[in-house]
Amino acid sequence: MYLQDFYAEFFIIPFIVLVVVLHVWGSRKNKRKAKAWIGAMGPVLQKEFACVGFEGKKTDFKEMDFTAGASHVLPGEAIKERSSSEFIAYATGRANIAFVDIKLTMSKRFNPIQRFSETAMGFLFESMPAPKERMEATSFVFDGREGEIVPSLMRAAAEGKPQERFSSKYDGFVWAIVHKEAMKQLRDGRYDLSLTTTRDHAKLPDWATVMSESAEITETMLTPELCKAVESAGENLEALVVSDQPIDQPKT
Amino acid sequence: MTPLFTYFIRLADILSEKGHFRPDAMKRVKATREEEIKKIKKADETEKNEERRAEKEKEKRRERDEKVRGMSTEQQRKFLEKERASDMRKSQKGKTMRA
Repeated sequence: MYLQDFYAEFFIIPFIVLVVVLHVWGSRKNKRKAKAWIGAMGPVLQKEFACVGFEGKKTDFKEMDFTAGASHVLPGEAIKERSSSEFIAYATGRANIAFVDIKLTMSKRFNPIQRFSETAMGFLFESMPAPKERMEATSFVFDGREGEIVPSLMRAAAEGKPQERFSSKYDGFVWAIVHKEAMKQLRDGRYDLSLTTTRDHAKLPDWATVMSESAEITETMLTPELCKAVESAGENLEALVVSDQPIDQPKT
Repeated sequence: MTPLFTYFIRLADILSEKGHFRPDAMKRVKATREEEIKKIKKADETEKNEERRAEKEKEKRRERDEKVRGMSTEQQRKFLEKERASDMRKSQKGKTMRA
């Protein structure tokens, strides 16, 4: 047994250590980012919704502290880790909205090889863009169907109690504010957006444009408050979409 | 980001409050939807027709195979020859052009 016999191991062991360290560091960094996000948006959700997170309805509602624990430990009830690069959050319990689904997608910091190949594919094939870090929130509105979805209201309807509620119904349409760079991909990838025409609007910053089915709708939707919010969000905004049509072309 | 996120959540309220448009404003929207429905129905129809045609062809082929099996070798040979001849005639028919 000579030291020379272990040359290979001298290379392999540091390599393994490197991979492990990279993985731990990368996934923790992603967790930290997710936590930062929920730390910033959690209070907003908490203000608007009765029930934030996955634990189910709490009878004694306490304010959740989204920043508790080490910086990479997630407030597990509010935001969950679906994979090291995907995080999901959920909120419900609000007038007009059945629930909100939120998904945070991050680059795979913990696996630089995969990250590199994903980016390379993005350059070569236009149809498979490199994954970007993004937050997707989908708000599922009641559209007048609370009676079918909310248990307490369903019971009230069954018992014949009067339902005084401002209707959450609204006329169906497709409307969006999108970042010009994302526009082509969104229009090609989504059936509902393919029904719209694209027009710039003076009230919006240069990088943004409006996809709408009718000018009247745009006039109603484009409130000064919205314009301000879009401006303050900046070019990080990829798209804000209101739609009553499915994303993929329906077959029937 | 936060004001936009808040606005996003409040959109549901705004929509239920303001989302009622006059009928002629919605005319264009409705027209687009009708068109799309028509397109989908047409695509569906063509698909069904294709299926029906494919089915018929399969039926015919099955019948023919049944017949062939029922005959003796000599008759089978004659039958296959006749088939080949008629197939060639059919393809020739397609190739001839009017002067």
